[in-house]
Amino acid sequence: MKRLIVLFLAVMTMSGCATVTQVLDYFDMARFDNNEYLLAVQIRTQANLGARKCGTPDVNREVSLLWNHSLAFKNYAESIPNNEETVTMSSELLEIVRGLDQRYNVDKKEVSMGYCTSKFGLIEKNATIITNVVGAKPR
Amino acid sequence: MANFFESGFTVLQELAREKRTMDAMKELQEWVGNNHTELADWAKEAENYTAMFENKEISEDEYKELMGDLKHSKAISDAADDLAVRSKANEMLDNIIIAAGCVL
Repeated sequence: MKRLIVLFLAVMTMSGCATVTQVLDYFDMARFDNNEYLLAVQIRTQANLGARKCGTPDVNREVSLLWNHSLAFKNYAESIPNNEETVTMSSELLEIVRGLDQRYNVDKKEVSMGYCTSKFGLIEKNATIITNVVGAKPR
Repeated sequence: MANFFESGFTVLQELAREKRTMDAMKELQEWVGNNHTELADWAKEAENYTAMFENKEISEDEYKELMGDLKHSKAISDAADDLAVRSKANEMLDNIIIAAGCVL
């Protein structure tokens, strides 16, 4: 009986006024996944490496690799059930990377050094946030 | 005599289990009561981009795109905060269940 009370209190503490079903849904989340984490780390690493190539012809290849990793991350996250937050993060990150890919590999526009370094920096910062929380998912 | 010690040991075990349960509950309540800080300062980034645009280091459409990216970044931060809270809640619930001696 004591155990039931403790469990009930824990559930109620988390939920506030939510129904028990909503509380159970809340706790039904995707657990840590090695592949998902690796993909997030690859984006972070690629953004870091890509920033060093700003202003050189090699940057197009770096952008392509970053686009591939970001798309793979989103597609992989989407295939995991109860993974809403990671799907949101991967989709938003892909939108940021899309602009970079559009300029370098689709429109082939003139790109300023400031834009290149800022964009890679922003992607790396976001990828760091993502790796931190994806890496801390419950095992 | 043996029964006396056995029952005494059982009482001690029960007390230790209750203490672990209370510790886990306290930790959980403290976590739920906390305000989670922003993981990144996107406002500062916006200031940097504006300064770059004013110094003509980036073009207007680049500036607009970077500012738009900050909205995506904010959405990432919010989702990251949600995920961090949910992960922590799950972890603490696991601890409570373990402390309460439940086997799932």
